[in-house]
Amino acid sequence: MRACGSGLKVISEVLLILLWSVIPSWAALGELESSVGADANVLQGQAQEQLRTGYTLHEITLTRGARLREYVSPAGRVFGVSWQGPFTPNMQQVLGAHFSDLQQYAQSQTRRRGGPLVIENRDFVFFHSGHMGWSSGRAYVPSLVPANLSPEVVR
Amino acid sequence: MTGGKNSPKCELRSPKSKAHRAAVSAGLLLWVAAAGLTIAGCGTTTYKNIALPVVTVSPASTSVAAGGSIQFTVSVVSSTSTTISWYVNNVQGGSATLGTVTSAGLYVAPPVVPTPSTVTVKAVSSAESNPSGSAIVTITAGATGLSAVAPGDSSTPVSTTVQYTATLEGDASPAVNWSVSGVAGGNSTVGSITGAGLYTAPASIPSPPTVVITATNAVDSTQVASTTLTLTTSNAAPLFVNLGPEGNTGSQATTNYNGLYTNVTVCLPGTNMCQTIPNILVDTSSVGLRVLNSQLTTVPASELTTIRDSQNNQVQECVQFPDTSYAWGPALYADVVVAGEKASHIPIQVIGDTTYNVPASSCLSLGNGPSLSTVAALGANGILGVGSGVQDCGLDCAGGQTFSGYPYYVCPNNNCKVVAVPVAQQVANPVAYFAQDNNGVEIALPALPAAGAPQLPYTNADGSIFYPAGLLIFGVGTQSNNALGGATVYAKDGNGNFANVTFNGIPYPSGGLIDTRSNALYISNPATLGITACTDSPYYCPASPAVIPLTVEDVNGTSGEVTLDVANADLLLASNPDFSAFNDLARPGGTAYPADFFDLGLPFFFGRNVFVGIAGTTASGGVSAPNGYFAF
Repeated sequence: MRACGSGLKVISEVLLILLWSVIPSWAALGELESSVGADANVLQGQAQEQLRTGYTLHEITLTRGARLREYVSPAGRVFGVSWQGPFTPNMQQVLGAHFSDLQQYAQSQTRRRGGPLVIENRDFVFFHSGHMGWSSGRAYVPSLVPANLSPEVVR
Repeated sequence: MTGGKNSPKCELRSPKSKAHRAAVSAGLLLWVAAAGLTIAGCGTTTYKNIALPVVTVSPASTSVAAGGSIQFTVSVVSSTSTTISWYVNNVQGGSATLGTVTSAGLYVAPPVVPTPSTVTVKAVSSAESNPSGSAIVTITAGATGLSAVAPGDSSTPVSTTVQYTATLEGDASPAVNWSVSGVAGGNSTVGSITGAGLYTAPASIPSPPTVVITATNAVDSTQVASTTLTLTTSNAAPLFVNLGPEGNTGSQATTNYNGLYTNVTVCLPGTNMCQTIPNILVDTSSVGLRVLNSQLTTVPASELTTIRDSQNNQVQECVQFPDTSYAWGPALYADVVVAGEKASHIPIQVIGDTTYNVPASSCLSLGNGPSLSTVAALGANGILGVGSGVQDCGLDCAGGQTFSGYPYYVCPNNNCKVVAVPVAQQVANPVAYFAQDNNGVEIALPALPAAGAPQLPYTNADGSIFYPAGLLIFGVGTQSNNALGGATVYAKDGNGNFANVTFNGIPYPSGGLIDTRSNALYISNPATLGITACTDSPYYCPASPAVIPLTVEDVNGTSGEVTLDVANADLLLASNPDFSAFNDLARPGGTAYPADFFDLGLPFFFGRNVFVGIAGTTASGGVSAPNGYFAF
């Protein structure tokens, strides 16, 4: 966080935290916030919602440091997602329709053993790294990122 | 002359291929065993002469050592221009066993002398009636004549003996002189060898740990053959770098450059029924032994002790690696022996078992990557995870909440579901369960030239080009051979990584790690580093070799400098197509600032002694490392 904190107007940020005892609606990358994804069925944890300058951040915190974040534009669309924790969340549920981009990449990659996954398509950016016991990554759809935001808010 | 038992005065009818027509036209003796050819009036029909352009191949008769090459030239006396096709024994372009020939006439002899040892290289013109010319090539058993020393590249504990034999073509018991690393008869440092080839290893590991055993023909000192021998101790296993048990013939997704391997012995718990399995990938970023079901032969998986849940269902596991590949199969108890260290009755995973369907939620959470269920897909016979964990999951898998990605399953009625598994029944790091030397490992690999090396260990025939093997040494500061010395200890953060990596004055808080499983330096991206990516391969291709200086910082603020070499990968791999070990192979591993990530794979380890400490141990110097540590 230390690398980009100055890029955000933290002071003027309106912070609204709602703690839920049940899972709120949770949509996949690229989908409308109002659509309920399958994630809710498998993600059991504490959820909160923060209103930030230019976007809304949904975060589910799970056991042992695992968390999943969704970045929602004022238009109500999920433009970015990020994850970290001991295991990789089910990317089919996190990435929605963009899972096919990952599938395509997974099957076309060559000369690889180990190393992070990096996809930089015109309209889908994906990064995932990890090792046994730790998994971290993010994905966003450049065309859905609000014009006044850097995609680097997705982290 | 191919075959040649037949009378030349046989007219060939209905030849089906250009090659056959060409052979006939040129008046070659051709034994027409090939399908589709019939012989009419054999012995009575006069051969039919046709006026044709003349094709001449030179040299017309020559010999070449196995693996050597000859450039043939062809002249065509013809009124029209023609193109030339090349054949070896009527196989266009040749074959692996006969040798190959390029469209430019370069013949490359096979590595092994074929039977018969003579082949015909033929140039066929595209002109009317396909005139051809040919040359006879005799393949000899290598330039030295002394073809091999047995056993080949191998390892042995200190103070043991190994009987060597030399093979000389046509001589059952050749008179040879033996030397060890260039010393006739050897000495107490590198080990000694008798005139009869009995090698006695030294009492301690020499530096480097690999010696070269060379046999020289007593009657012709130009004839030499060499092999390597790596000395080990009870806490040090050999480390090999090569293209893996099936070379690079497997899936492109698991190309095996920079594959780091050792030998692991698996035993039925509490018995002497054991099997040593070579080509086990050594992985500092995972935990536990995983062995391919297909490789467990004398110790079959069906005889290992099962692990069961409270409903008596057998526990299965799926591990998905961050590169999307996954390993699926049961967790079973075995005794695991590496070098002279033994972990008794610990859970291992047997992968490639097809009893149950793959559960998608964890095996495929990153997408349908390759299943590591075969030697070709894994590029190894198994994986030995010697990372910082004691178990491969720990408390996360022992109860309470479960979510997508958990590795342990039971599959009643082939309906696999996540199951909590007590820590003691999870796949375990064998190192942590050794009776001694159980607080970590040291990976010691030799330095490499910028061009890389064919493999580790490697020697040419006379020992003049030599690269030693590495050592996987168990324990940190427990024996004379595993002292930390001046190494800096970097305590891992809660994620098992460096807390920070800085390049060019800019900190990258995503950090990074060092990782023997990764086959390249997966670092940052072209824009950040200012070096170009290759256009036709996934690596970096700087115009000239680049040097990337990084500062790595641990969770306590301890920092140090790391310098990485980055070669132009296209040039590097094209120049050394058979090489497997590279210290300067790098590819992009991040999207952009500030999410750049630095996964320093095997290239980082060459020329360094790197320690990986087990979680909860205290490194000498008093550095507490609840999450384990790297030191180098």
